Amino acid sequence: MSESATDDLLSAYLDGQLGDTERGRLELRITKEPDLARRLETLRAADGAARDWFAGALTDAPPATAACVRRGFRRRRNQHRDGAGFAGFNRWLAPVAAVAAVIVIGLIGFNYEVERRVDNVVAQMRSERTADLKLLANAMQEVLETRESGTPVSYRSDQTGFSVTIVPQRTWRSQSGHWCRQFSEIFVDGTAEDAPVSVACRDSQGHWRRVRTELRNPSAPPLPVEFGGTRL
Amino acid sequence: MDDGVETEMIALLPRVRRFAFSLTGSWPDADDLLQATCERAISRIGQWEPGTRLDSWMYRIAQNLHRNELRQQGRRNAHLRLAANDDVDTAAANSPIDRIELGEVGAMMQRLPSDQRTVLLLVAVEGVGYQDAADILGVSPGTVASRLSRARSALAVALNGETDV
Repeated sequence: MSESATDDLLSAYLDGQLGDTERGRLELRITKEPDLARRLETLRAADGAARDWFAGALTDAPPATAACVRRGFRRRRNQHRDGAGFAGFNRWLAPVAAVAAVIVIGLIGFNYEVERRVDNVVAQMRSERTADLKLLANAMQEVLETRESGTPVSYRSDQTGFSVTIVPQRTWRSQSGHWCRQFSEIFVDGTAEDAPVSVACRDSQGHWRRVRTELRNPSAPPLPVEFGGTRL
Repeated sequence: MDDGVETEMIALLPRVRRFAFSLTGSWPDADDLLQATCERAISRIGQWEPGTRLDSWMYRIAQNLHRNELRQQGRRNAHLRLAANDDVDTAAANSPIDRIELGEVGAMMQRLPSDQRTVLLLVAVEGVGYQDAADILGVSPGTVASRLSRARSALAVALNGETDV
């Protein structure tokens, strides 16, 4: 059996996809063929490595997205409330009109109106997300450039209601000579306990670049951070 | 109904984001895809059947949006765009931070074709069955099985490389 065919078989075995007979036959082979047993363990280890790697990729969504989802649902609810009158009007109109053509035209119009409202929701979500990201980027630049450590500064978007409080925590100079700052961000609906902690460093143009953000599992050991090719 | 779905959707965002990353292979693209997925999901929430899995439904939306985008732009343009993003966003795969933390396995994970990476995430990490993974990705269970096997083989090479060092 080719290596690829063996991997196919072992892979299906790992996922419990083999029938009883086929599984029994394979398990017997595994006990008799050390190479096969080793290959199975290697593939099992590959799964473990994949799980570790993907666990590291399970990070919070950008806060702007969560805020956007909340607003999207709120907008839908508001439109449903407004739409109740619209639907009620249709229910009243239909029997009075009692003409098939009118009903058809009415339905087309109603569908068009629903689609238009859906498009509006999406367009507004996009525009608000762009505004939130801009607010966040500008706030980070301003706070890190001008505020002392330990001083919380809050920002709120008049357009979207999105708000964030940024607290610079400490400042140091990296081995490569860049100024770096650690800071936390408390977002709307968030608490200080679940505020992500980030590190940003100032590049040669005076622009603060976010180097890393620790979003979950604050008890985990800090990961190595580099900026400008040098370990901080 | 909306209140419960809203809460569930927000709780799902990290997982949908990770799924989007497995599809796109870059965080900036994953965040854009996550946003587009949420927009589509909220605007079409009436099409989701309560009692069925919201995560699978959102994964399917993300997968369809990603596939449509690749179709619209053509594979060539999509690759050019991804390459351009890498140039712009130094916090993506090119950054020394990521290179340090990735190691051989991480580098292999990023080199894996996205269809293999996505199957690996769904089946080996999230424990989704072959049939459900096939439904999400719009392929046959046999395709899921073969992609999974190739992904594991590739990762095994990376693991052996690490132990040889």
